[in-house]
Amino acid sequence: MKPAIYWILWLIASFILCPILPGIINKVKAFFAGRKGPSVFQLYYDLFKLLKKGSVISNTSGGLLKLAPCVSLAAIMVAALLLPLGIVNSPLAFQGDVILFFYLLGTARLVTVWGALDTGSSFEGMGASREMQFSALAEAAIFGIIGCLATLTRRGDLTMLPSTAFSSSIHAVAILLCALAFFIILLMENCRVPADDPNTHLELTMIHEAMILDYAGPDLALILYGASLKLWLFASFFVILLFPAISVGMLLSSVIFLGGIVAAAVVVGIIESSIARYRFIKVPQMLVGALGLSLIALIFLIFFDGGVK
Amino acid sequence: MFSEMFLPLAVMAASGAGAWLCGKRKKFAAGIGTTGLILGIISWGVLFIKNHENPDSGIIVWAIPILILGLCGAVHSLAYLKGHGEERSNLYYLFYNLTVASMLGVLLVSNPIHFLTLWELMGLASFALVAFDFQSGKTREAAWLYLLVCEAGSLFLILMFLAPDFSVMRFVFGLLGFGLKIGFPLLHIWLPQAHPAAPAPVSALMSGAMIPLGFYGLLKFTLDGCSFYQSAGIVLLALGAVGALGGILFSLPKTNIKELLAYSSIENMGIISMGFGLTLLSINQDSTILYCAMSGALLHIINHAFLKGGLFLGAGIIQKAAHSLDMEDMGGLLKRMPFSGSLFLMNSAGICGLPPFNGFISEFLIYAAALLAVCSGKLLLMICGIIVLIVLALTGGIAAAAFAKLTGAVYLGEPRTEKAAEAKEQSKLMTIPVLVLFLLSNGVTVLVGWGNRDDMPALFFVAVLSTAFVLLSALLFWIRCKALPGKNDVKRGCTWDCGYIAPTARMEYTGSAFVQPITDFCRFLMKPFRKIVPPKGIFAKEASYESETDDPGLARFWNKIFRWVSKLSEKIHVLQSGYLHLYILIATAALILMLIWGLMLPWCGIITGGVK
Repeated sequence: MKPAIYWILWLIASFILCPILPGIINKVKAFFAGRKGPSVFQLYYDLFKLLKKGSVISNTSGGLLKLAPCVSLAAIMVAALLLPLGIVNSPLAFQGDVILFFYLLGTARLVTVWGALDTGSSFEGMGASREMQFSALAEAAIFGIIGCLATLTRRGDLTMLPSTAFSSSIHAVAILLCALAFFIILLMENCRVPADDPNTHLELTMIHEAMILDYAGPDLALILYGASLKLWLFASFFVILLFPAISVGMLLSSVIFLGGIVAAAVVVGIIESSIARYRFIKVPQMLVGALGLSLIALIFLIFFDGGVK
Repeated sequence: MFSEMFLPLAVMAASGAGAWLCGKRKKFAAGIGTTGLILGIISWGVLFIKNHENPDSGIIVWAIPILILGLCGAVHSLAYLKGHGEERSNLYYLFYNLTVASMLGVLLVSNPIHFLTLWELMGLASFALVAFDFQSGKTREAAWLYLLVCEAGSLFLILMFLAPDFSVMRFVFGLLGFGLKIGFPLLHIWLPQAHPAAPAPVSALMSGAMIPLGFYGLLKFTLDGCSFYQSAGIVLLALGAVGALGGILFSLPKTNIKELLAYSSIENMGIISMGFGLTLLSINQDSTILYCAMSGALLHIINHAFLKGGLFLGAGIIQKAAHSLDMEDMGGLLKRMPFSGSLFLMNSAGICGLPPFNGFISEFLIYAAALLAVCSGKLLLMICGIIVLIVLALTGGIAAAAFAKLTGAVYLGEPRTEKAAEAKEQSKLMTIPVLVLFLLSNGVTVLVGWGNRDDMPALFFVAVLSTAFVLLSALLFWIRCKALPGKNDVKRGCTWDCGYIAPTARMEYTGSAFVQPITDFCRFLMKPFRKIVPPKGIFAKEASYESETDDPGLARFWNKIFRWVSKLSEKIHVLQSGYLHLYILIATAALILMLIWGLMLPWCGIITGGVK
């Protein structure tokens, strides 16, 4: 099989499989709580049900409320075209695609915030405001990680992810620090504990869930699907970063890729079951900590690795 | 070299004078002024195309913003001036045409005397435009500050031309003189005051086209052929990083629309400066980084002009529709003005550098240059690349917050005042220029992507994927509205908001509340003045929260210097006693001292070894 066809198959598989991740997380949480929990496929049932329903649009809305979920999902889907899914470089990869990847997610975020503010609701304004603060800091940490990976692999595109090699102990330390920093970003960007709690729909503690309070029916379906796709993309980013491309054949790398993503979801579930959500004052510290980790990794690479002139 | 290209400028200036002579006949004044300007701009463009093989044709980067914004601003003014000092429109057209003509003239000359004359004319003519609403005290104050800054800048430029060629001193004076125009950190203080004071088309012209002229001067007169480009690159990069981060951070707490936009201009000039810094650093190191950084910085000048021009003209529309510039007075304008509102929203996303709009493509080039610098393996380039990466990312994130605040408070939600509730779509003369700017700016993305499909495939991919993104959004929206089983089951209701029955505008999140988490997080830096009246008791009667953030450059640096200078001048004031004979004594003493100095000079020459 040609790598391009293999990659396209993985792209389609990603679009189909992504709603399973929230299911896995919930199953793990239920296991730790001693419950049976909903089926792993619960999100599929929810999506089908929601797509068939009608919708309620706020009188305040100037139209963005309806438009936002579509634009946001489209941005996340286009971003998916750039990732080396299945640990094979995307045929669309180009110099600097990593910037487009994260900026498309940024567009998705701004549009969601617009949709939230369009309702004029105080809760949604609050969620949007917090989302903007945390994402600005997360962005800095993300580009710190990218800078570190670019130093490591001498590549300026997303092919840097499968090119990370544990060739020396310094490289291994740098990759592990970057992976840890990225996992913190993953938790924050996908509104998981300890940055946000996807289950507290009606409390003052929420960020992302507060922004989508006024959505119902197909709009909510698009948002839920978009969120699960975004989680899938971040989990793949994390997995490809940790498991570089090795010539083990497509079947085995598929297994590593899928197994890694499932394992990442399980880890998220374990974290959610074992620690409580941080206070809001602590969340920025967590993100600045992630930036710090990436900078430490960078210092390691620059000063202890012989490669820099 | 470009001598015949001064002719259109003369046409503009003459039509401005003609408009002025019309006096109170404002329709004639507008007709003559605008016709002359349009004729001048078109003929200048035609002459430029005829001369495009000239080695100096790089000025087109700075000329495009002047030509397009000059044109769009002039059309916008026709409607904007109605009710905004219309009786003085003859003066407006005189100075508007003079500003545009002198800005184009600055690009054509290289003789220091001609350059300084035109630069000064540009400053004075635009000063008159800033002071156009002179009845308001705040405007007079802003115009006065702008005049001072212009004159200080000219002083530094004269010193720059006196300094020897290619010397560090020349660069430092150039940095100060042109930096005052660009708005480098600490030299930026006039921007947040002059932009809200000036009429909207003038703000657009100044922010989009005039400020970047500083980079033109800096490149042409101080950096062309110098030998210390590496240190100059580090200086530009550091100034740019501080300007970009500081500019956008201090834009957050502002509630005046145009003040926020002015701070965003400081941010964008910082980004351009970082691009030029990377360019200089990569000279003789790596030509790919050089091309990326240089084209990114130059393209960002054009992109910023189109986007910021559109935003300032949009602010003018808001001002006419809601009779205010304070975003806390507004809300819900998108529903009332869907056309100009959606243009403003898209321009905001563009200025944050978000795809699919054109702001992304120039930031992308600078990002790409930074990534290449990181990959280059040379320590200095690597560290600079990392700094640019992180600063750009943080700036982008905060810019998104600032513009989400601006658009959210103005266009979304429920109106907070009656004036905002009655806002209506404004005259086509105001909205069409914004549309033209928007179309042109996104044409740039497509053009740049298509034109570079062979030598820079990344830009082509960006353009293709951006288009794919737009089409996919449209497809999803069509499916959502037309193809789903629940398409006809759409109810309208009031915002749910966790079960409130009648949410009002008073419950809405205000702009200040929206950015409060970030401003609080950066309190150590921004030092806002806060006045909090906390609610007391179970049935609290009143509670309030006020906060105000002063400009750090003005409050913590310049005001101290101003105070010190005024104390000093009070002491020197003793000399101005009012007695004529004392003045004559001082003059005589000065003459005698000069005489002694003149006599001593040959002696000094012998002592220092004949150095002239």
